[in-house]
This record gives sequence, C-alpha cells and structure tokens, in this order.
Amino acid sequence: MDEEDLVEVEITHNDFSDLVESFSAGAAEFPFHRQTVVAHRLLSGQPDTELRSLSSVDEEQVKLLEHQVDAAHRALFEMNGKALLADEVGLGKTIEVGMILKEMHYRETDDSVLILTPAQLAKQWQGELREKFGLEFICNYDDEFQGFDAHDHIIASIDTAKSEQYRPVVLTREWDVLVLDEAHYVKNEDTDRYDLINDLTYDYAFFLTATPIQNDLTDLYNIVSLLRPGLFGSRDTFHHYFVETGQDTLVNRDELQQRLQQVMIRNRRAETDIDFTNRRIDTRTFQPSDAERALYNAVTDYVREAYSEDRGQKLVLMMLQKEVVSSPAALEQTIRKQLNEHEELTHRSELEAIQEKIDEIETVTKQERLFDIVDEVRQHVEMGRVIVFTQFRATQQQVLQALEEQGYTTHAFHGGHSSQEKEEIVDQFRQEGGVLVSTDAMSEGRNLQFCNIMVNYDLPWNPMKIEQRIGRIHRIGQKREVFVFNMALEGTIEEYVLDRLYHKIDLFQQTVGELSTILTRLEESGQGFEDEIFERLVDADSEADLENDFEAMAVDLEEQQDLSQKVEQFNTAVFENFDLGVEHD
Amino acid sequence: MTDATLSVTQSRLETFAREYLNTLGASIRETGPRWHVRLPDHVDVPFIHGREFTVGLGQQPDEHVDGHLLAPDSEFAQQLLEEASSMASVGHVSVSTEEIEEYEYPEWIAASDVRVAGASFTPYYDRNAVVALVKVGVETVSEYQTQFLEAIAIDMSSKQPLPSLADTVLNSFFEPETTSTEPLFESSAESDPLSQVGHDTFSEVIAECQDVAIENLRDSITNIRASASRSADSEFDEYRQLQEQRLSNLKDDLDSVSRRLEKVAEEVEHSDSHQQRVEALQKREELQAEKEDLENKQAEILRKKQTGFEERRREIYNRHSLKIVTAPVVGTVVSYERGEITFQLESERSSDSLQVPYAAGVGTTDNASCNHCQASLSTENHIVIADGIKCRSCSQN
Repeated sequence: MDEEDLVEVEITHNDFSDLVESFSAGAAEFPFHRQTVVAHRLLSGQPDTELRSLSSVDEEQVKLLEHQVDAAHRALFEMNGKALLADEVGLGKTIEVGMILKEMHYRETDDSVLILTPAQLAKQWQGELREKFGLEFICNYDDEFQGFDAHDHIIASIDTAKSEQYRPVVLTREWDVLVLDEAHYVKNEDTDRYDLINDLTYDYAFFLTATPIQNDLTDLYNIVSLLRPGLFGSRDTFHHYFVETGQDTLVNRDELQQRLQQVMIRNRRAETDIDFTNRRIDTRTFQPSDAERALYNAVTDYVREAYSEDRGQKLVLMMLQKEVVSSPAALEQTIRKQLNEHEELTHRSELEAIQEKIDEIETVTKQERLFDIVDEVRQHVEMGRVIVFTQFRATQQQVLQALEEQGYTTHAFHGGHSSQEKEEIVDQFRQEGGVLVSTDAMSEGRNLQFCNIMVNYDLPWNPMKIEQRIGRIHRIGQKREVFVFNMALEGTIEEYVLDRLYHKIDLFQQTVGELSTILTRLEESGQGFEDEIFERLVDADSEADLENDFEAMAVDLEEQQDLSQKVEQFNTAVFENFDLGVEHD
Repeated sequence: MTDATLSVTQSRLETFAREYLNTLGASIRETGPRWHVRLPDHVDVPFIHGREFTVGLGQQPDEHVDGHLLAPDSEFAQQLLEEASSMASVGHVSVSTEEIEEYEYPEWIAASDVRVAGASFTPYYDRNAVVALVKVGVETVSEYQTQFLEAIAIDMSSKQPLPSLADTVLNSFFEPETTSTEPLFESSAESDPLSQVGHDTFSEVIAECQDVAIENLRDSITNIRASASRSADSEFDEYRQLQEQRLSNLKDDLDSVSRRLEKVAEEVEHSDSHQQRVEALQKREELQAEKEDLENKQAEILRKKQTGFEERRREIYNRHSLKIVTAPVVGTVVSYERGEITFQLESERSSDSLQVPYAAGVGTTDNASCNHCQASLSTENHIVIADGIKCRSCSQN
C-alpha cells in the first residue's frame, strides 16, 4: 500500500508523573515491587487461552482430536471469536463448533445462540450437540418451538429464518453467537440468504464449509467479508490484487494466505491422524414367499389408490409402505390401529383383506435369513457381536423373540429407555456379546467401536440415517474392518432404493460428512429425499415407469455427487499450498 | 522487542495469589480446591471483608457462593491483580554474573563452527539501567483495541537500549513461576540505591522508553495500520458506489421531470381556457423548481466526484486513523556489572582466546570487529580460527 492510501497514525505519550513521584519516594521492597510487575504482566496478558471446558467433555460421548481442539482454540482466542472453519470433509467441523459453544457456555458468553443450517441437517445438529456436549438447543421443527424471540438457543433452517414470517424477529435480536453451517450457500451477495446474514447482529460468528469457493474467488470474498468486513478491502481492491484479470486465476497467494489466516482454519485429511479401517458391504436380496409377495402387492396397491384418491394421510401411507418390507408384525400394528381407531373407514374391507394376508404368513423370510448372517458371524467373530438395526419397534420385538427362540444372547435398545438403562444395555452387550437389536433411537454419541458388524434389517429412505447407523460402529477408534449387511426382498421398494439409488452413489462407502454435502445440494432443488421416493413409487403406472423414475433420480444424485466432488477438488487445489490448519512446531 | 505480557493461566494465577497473600502476611490453609485465608490484623484489603475468607480455585462460580473465586476472568482475580499493580511501581534489582550463571554468547560465535571451551567475566564497574514496562494501546474503529506491554531496558548513562537486559530481568525476577519471594540479588547495604540515580535522568530514560516501545512495535503497528486502511478503503468504496447510485437515480428523476415539463409545455401551448393555462403554468413552475433542485443535487455530487470525493474520503480515513497511546507503568532500576569477558575458543584444529567488552545480563556490549580487517562481526561474517581469530571473509581471502 502506498503511504497516501494509509490512514494517519496519532501517537500520544501519556504523562508519567506518578512513576517519577514513586521514584522520588525511593525503591519499594523487592517482594512488593515484584508483585506489581507480575500483576501488570498478567493484567495485560490474554485472559487465559485454555479451553477450560475441555475436561468436562465426556470422552465416552466424543473423542476429541488434536486438530479439532486446535481449531476451537484458534477460533476463540486468536480470531476473536469470528472464524471460518473450512476443514476438508469428514474432519469434524461440527465437533469443533460443539467445543467452541461448550467453552462459551462455560464462560457464560452464550446468552443467545442462533445456529443456521440447511433444513435436512437441523435435527442432526440438535442431536449431536445434546449427545456429545450436553448442550440443549430447540429446533424450529420441534413442537415446542415458539418463534425466534421465545428461546435463547435455537437451531433453525436458514430458509425458515429468512422467511417473511420470522425474518423481522431474527433481525431485531442481538445474538451473542451465530453459527452458519454450509456457509457456501451465502456466497452470492444477491440472495436473501446473504442479506439475512449481512443484516444479523451478533458478537461472535462461526461459519462452516468444506468448500468456501463454489465458482470463483468472489465466493471467498463474499463469505469472508460477512465475517470480517474490510479484511480484503473493497471488492475492486480484492479483484485488482488477487485475481488475474482475464483468466480468473489467483495471484499474490502469500498475501491472500496471510490475510485468510486471520479468519480461516482449514485442516486437511492428509495432515490429521484420522484413519478409518476398511468397510465391507454385503447386500443380500431374497425371494419373498408367495404370501409375502401377495401382502406386499396388496399394501402397495392400497397405498397407491388411497394416495391418488387423497384419502389417507401421506405419512401413514408412507409408513405402511415402509412397514410391509420391514416385517408383518410392524405392518399389523398400524393396520390394527387404523381398524380399531377409525370406526367409519370407507376402505375398511381393503384393510381387513391386508390383515388376512398378514395372518397367512407363516415364515418371515428376512428373519430366517438373518439367522444365517448371525450364524456366520458367531463362527468368525469374537463373542459374535452384531448390531441389527430396524426402524420399527414391532419388528424389533419380533426379531428379538425369534433370535431368543434360536438360543442367541440378545439385547434390545430403543428410545423408551432412560439414559441409565441405555448405558447398561450397551455395557451388557459389550460384556456378554450376542445380538443387539436396535431402533434408530441409538444415539450418535454411543461408543460402540467394540462391535464391527451391523445389519440393516430394513432400510430408511433417508440416506442420512444410513450414514448415522454406520457411524455408530465405523468411527474413529474402530480398529477392525467393518461389515455392513443390507437385507431386502426382491421386487420391493427396498430393492429399488438399495440398487437404484444407494448403490449408485456408493452410499455405503461414503466418507462421513460427504453425504450431507450431496443432500444439501439436492435440497437446493427443493424436494425432500423421502418424499421423492414415495411420490415416485405411488405415481408410477408400471414397473417400467418405476424403474425409469428411479433411474432419473439416481442420475440426479450422481450429478450432485459429481458436482460436489468437483467443487471439493477445486477447493483443495486453491488451498493446496496454504497453511491454514494446525500450526506445527 | 520484549513482550512482557503473560497469558493468564490457572497455575500462574494461583502462584501469584499465594505470593501476594504471603507478602501481606496472610496464612493460607489449603484443602483440595479451596484456600482458607487468614489476614493479619493490620492489613486492610479493600475488596475483602473480614479477616478470614475462603478462595475457590478455578471451579464454576456457583460452587463457591460463599467465597471468592480465583480463576482467569474472575472478579476476585481481577481485583487482586489491580490492587497489586498499584502497590510498588518503582523498585531496584542488581544483576551480576553470580546470579546469571550462563554467559550469553554473541551471535558471531553462535553462528560459527567455533566451540566455546570456557568463558570468564571480569567485572570492572557497575552501571545503572532502567527496565520499564510500557503499555501501548492501539485503537482504530475497525479493530478491537490492541494492547501491548513492552519491556524496555535503557542504560542510564549512554541512553542505549539493552534488549537482552529486559529479557534477563523479566525472566529472572518477574516470572510468577519463581517460587522464592526473596530477591535474587545482594541487597544493597548502603542507603537507597535509587539515590545514586538522578531524578531527571530517570524521567529522561522513561520518556525514551516510550519512543523505543513504539519503535519495537513497528511491524505490529504497520499491520494494524494496513488493516485499518483496508477497512477505510472498503467503507469509502461503498460510499462512492452509493453516490454513483444516487447519480443514476437523479438522472432518472431528471429525465422524468424533463418529460413531464415537455408535456406541461404542450399543455400551456394548447390550453383551451385561461384557467387551464394558469394551472399548466403553475405546474410548470413547480416542475422547474423540482428540476432545479435535482440539478443542484446532481451538480453537488458531480462537484464532489470531480475531486474524487476527497472531503468524504478524508473524513472516513480520519475516522479509521490509528490512535496510539503509550503509558509507562513500572520502572525497575537495574544495577549491572560491566567489564570484559574472555572466551576460550576451539575449532577442530586449533584453539585461541578472545576478550570483548561484556555486561552481566546484557551480553557483549560493543559491536565487535575483526582484528585483521576491521569488518564488523555478524551472523554472516562470523569468526573462524585459522592462524588466529579472524572473520569469515578474511579467512576466505
């Protein structure tokens, strides 16, 4: 910068007559003088740059890694609480923010906290902060949510926050802390999202993204300028200084790095200790019995018809479709409930027909085949520990009963247990081995690395749930190869979801965190994943139609995956020679 | 530069507080994470009520509702530090080679392959210096206020800065980890050691310390200045864009008024009645006034634009300017020994000895030069032993 472009400097030397007076009075005794000097040194020092809450983080719930602790430390103490956390995918940015928020809670600087995330991830954030850090947040999807002025710790979808209904209140409040997940969605200064963040009032802010640059360097300018206005000067100055005109390539890398270091932390996978073991996927599809086939067709026809005639709640219909492939027991429970609770059902006879078909099933194919898997495991793995996941309590009961009858040691885990009971169940499973049959209520924080085999007895239509299930055992600290068995009946929706969608994007081999990037890209297009599967199923006029529909959805997924990988690679290239991570001595 | 700040950790605070309370004559009974403190009758500490009190160490405040909490950021810790900081701002220490056991080797030896086999210091006389802690605050609107605490040492006779002495004094006497509260120097038997030092000289040296502190912080200040300048640039750019936008809006408004004027002119021309004509004329007058007003505004902005909005720029840049304030907060008069040091030097093939002026806690005091060519010795032009001691360039010729 030229001298004329610099602001003036005004120096004032304060008067020190007090000091001269003390001098005239004579030297103080050494111990007193020493105390005075030390006190000045401490008064001028940073108020303590230790993460004091660290000791209160439950290591059973979360294993903190060095790069995460360093990132939290730097964000809080070296960046004055305004930081862009831009680790590569899968390195635990959420954990870093969890630690930051825990520390702020400890220091009582978190009176009001707003976490803005893509809609799909809001509940996941809530769960992680609760389970891993004991931090309670209300989510805008909770029934108890009363608006942005009614709670002090809120997780909300950014689109809810910017909606006409909520925006004025969100902007009126003075927030202590703002957390913005997937911050690259505010890269564009001409959007409502950007305006919202720009207009928000807050003291501390933590933005998260693995890919700060989506298209060009302006994205980086926009995001960083929200956090630290003026760090790069004006937009023109930034372009003039850092972007090669015409080619849109980066120049003056060192200077850019130096400036970014004040606000951005980027850890790279290659430089951390994270090392995941292999994951082996074994998907098994089975021929259903005639009775099971007949039941599946009856339920699918019923759901299609009911949905097209708009008679029946979508959620209930979706549930029926999921239950029929999970177990007859799960389906029966819902059918009975419908029959018992609604006296004047127009379609009673159809439901009764389904009930009859359930009664006709003598052998449950999936259950029989589960015995094969568990048997194999018992022969090859120490204490034969297997976790079987199902979405439904009724399926869980049926599977448990069947396993017990076969003489297996079993454990049940579901959302109805108290925390104490949950601890005990996991502990018993560790000590006794056998089969743990769990619903998806198994919390993320549970430490189950002692087990390396899991079975997806049925398949959630939300891929994030699959990732969460796998994440229970395939996590940092798992030393053995992990086996994932998927079970599905041929010719059912489950087979489509597995074959056409999940395998297409290699879902079961995704790095932790990668999936959320793909899904939030999809979310941009506005449709929820589960809804989309359901709509395609009920709208298809023929099997060929259904296949084509799923193919189209798979192509869309693949495209998003492709895009997200390209953006990731691009960012890796830009930040390749930057040292924005943990400083090594 | 010598940064005198210390980060406030729990252990440092505890060391400091224990020492402070002991200095006051208090007795401390430690039970786990609590201290039970009893103050002597004659001591009065303004923020402590009663003679006995409990201090909780580094725990959550709610666990110590009855007592004081000693933790970084706690009110009690802050009060202790502030009280102590105003207690005794001028003191005295002596630095001799008896306390400072390790000699400091000059860079032109450290950088060479020559090994120091032995060293002996012969003190000739005592000199006085002042080590002052100078607080430097740098403030600008776009950044948090940045605080520095610099330790500056200046010899009272030569007025030369002695950076190593500042380090030595801080590390040897003013680290809270040092467990002994006894001074590490021989207490001067004669009267007040400060009496040998002139009052005016002390003032002069302290003032000099303020300048040196700024000089030492030059790099940091340059960075803050650049950052503040970028913020100013950014703000000015926003202003400039806003004015461009206003010009564009004014142009639109003017076009619109002009169109309306043309229309009214036609109305005046073709009015059917006197009444209509009067109304049209009135309208024209209003529009002309409006146009004039817009043109004035436009002209005003254009006028400012011609000078590059210099006035506004100056205003913004002034607002972002750096305000630096220095305040010397403590002064320690340091008596130190000056003399000569003899280094016994060895290389792979030969050995030799070398005498240079030296001071305890300071290191070599004069710039050394090569005995052969008189070139200054430095890290690059270090010594070698080859037919005697020479500088590197001599040995290569």
